[in-house]
Amino acid sequence: MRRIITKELALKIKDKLDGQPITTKNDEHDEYGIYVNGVLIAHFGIRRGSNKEAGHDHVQKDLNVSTGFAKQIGICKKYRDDYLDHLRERGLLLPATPLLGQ
Amino acid sequence: MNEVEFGTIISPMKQQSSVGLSLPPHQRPFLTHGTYQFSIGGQEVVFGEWFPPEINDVISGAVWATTRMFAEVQRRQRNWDVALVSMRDNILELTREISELKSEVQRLQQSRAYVVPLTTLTPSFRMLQQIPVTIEGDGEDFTATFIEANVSASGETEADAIANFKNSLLSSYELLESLPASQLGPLPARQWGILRDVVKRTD
Repeated sequence: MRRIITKELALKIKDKLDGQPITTKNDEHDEYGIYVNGVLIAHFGIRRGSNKEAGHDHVQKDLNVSTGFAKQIGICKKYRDDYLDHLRERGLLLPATPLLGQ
Repeated sequence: MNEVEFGTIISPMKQQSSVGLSLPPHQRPFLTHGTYQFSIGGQEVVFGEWFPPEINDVISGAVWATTRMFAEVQRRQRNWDVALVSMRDNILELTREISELKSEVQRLQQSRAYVVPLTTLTPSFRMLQQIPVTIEGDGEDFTATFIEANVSASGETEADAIANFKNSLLSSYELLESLPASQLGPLPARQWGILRDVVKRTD
């Protein structure tokens, strides 16, 4: 795989999407959930202890977006609202779910 | 009678004089006055009397011919310039496309994708059925994905990716198991529906 989403970029994506840490028994990676009004809409893991260049090309799959889309989130060309619109267009976000109170 | 072969006579013109035939200035031969046999296009033969042109006519004819030739050269040069610029742009575009294709071919040569069945987890969990895990990698980074449930993980080797995948699968199971259905969006709800059919706690 071409290393496109590094750990550093994955952490930026987590921040951009307002990912919340989830406590699990897993000690290999940190799990983050993305919520809308308390409803979990996606989650992904970031390897613990890995260097910042370590490949995290699974993140875009977990988020159900393309590699390019995920990268654009990481480099501030797309934002949380763009991601929610993307999910809504694909029926992965309930239409009635309001976007307030992210 | 002198016989003159003019080669190509493009536009012979009738003249009012008794010669009956005139040539474009740039094709006028420097002949002395006399009667000549003109061969037009190597076919038609015309007899006529030739009156040599005045010197001014000769000069103006030469200038006319030179000017016309120069204009023609300039026109051809412009056409060539336009054609060359167009060709250069096309070559640059083709070079760029070939470079991209070359990179893509190299990437495809290096990339590998195959499916392995996952049958075991940890002692605390067991598989109810084996699941297909797609491994994709190029020798430096690998991802392992259970496409149906949209669960995946990365690693620097295939074994690393599979080990991380198992961790990710169990983390997903524990997370989704802990949440009520009302707190699961469409994607997590779908994941949970699949995971509970393939994984079960043993403790």
